[in-house]
Amino acid sequence: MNIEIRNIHQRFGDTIALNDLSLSIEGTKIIGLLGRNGSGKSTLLNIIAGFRKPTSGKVLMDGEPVFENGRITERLALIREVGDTVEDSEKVEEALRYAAYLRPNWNDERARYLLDRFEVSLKSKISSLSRGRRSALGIALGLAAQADLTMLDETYLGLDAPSRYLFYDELLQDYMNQPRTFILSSHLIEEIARFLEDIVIIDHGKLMFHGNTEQFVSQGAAVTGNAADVDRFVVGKKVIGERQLGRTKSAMVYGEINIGFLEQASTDGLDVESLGVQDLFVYLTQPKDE
Amino acid sequence: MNTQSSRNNDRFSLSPMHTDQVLMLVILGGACLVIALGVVFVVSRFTDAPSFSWAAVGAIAPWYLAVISGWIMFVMVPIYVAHGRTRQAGFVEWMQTGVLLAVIGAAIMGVGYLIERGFYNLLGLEKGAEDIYFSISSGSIVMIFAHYMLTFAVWFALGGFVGVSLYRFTDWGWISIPIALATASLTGLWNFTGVSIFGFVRRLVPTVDTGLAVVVVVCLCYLTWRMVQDMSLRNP
Repeated sequence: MNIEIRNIHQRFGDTIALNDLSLSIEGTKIIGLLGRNGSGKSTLLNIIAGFRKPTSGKVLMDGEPVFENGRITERLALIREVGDTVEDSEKVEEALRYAAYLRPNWNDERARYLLDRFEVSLKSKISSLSRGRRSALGIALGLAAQADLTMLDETYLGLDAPSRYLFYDELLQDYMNQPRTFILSSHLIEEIARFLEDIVIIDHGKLMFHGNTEQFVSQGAAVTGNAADVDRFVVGKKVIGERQLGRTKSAMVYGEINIGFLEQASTDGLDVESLGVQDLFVYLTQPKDE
Repeated sequence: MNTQSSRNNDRFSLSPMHTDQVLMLVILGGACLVIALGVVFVVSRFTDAPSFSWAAVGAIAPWYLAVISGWIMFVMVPIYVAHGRTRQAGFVEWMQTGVLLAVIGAAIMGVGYLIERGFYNLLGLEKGAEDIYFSISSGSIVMIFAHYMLTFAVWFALGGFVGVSLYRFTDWGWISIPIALATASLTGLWNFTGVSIFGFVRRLVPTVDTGLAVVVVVCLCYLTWRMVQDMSLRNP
């Protein structure tokens, strides 16, 4: 499976949500789509899924345009927040009935299993479900659709921690049993970072980073030591954040963290620690005036 | 990828939208008929039997179809798109539902008149001399069927037009309601459903401009499609 996003531009009135964004996604993997609020993540997912036609640019899947192309859109699933593939006045079992009709690869058994795990009753009216249960319904519909590309946009925000961990387990189970591509958009970065193979970061509608998670993490380090030594060490390096307590200072450095870098820091008596995905993301995307 | 064991790609399976709506229409039609006959029976015990009690149902039915049509456009078509179907597929199912409901609804109306007439005869009720309703022939039943089918088609198209306008343009979408009603009123079916309920058979059947009604249906469907074809899904 190959998704090609070409020069997508999305404008809402005077606001530019996506600015000439291009991106290519290949193979089967779990991808994290990260970005601050209003960065354009949801807009991008809406466009990939064909929920919205972009102002300009196009999305191709295996060389074919996505928008209003039934052969392609049936291979895509986007579940947004608490899910909009259901009608509030229906019962859960009715939502499954419609999904079974509309989704070509629908796995009813899997859907019922997931709903049972998340303790969502088939007889419940959807409007009466709590936010968490409704999120679980969205997840069940998304995973049971067995689409080649499944996108979950903050779908699991309503879930409590045990339910989220259950979701992660089921997602990985799905991925192992039937390898396909997942895109997860979430603010709970630390929770999902451990199983992300690729990371896409969008900031102010532009692509900031796209690559392997290890590659991303390897580009950031926190250098800690005497403030003067740290200041001297980071000259000429890209510093994305700083913290100081007394005479001890930490500088977050982004760039090539190689053997020479580590040896030099050791020689200068500085400690080097790698930054997690969330720390790197925060430092990279924080506004300049923060 | 995607194992075929779970594949459910039968595009010829019955649409839940069709089956649900047809079933609901039949149930509601049956319930309304029972109520209409019940009203005739009860009223006839105390005073002159009302003529055209079933016609009152005929006045409500087009509005029901309009609401259902608007609901399909506003709620179900976006759900179809969210489930990976195209807007075109959703639009086609909406039209198919409209045809089914118009035909079945018109059949229910025609059968309802026949049953009501039989009921009057059974009770031996008197009727006013001016009521041609009681002289319904098999020919006029066909006319009534055609008349209702056309009326339902107009109101279904009207409802879909309003539904997609409200979905797409939110507050501005309300403007579509007077536009749709004004367009539909061109057909001459307006009096039938809105103002004059009784005696409509005599007064309106001969004067309905079938060609104009068909043009209105086509125009409303075309405008609906233009709004649906690149409609963005709202954020949940």
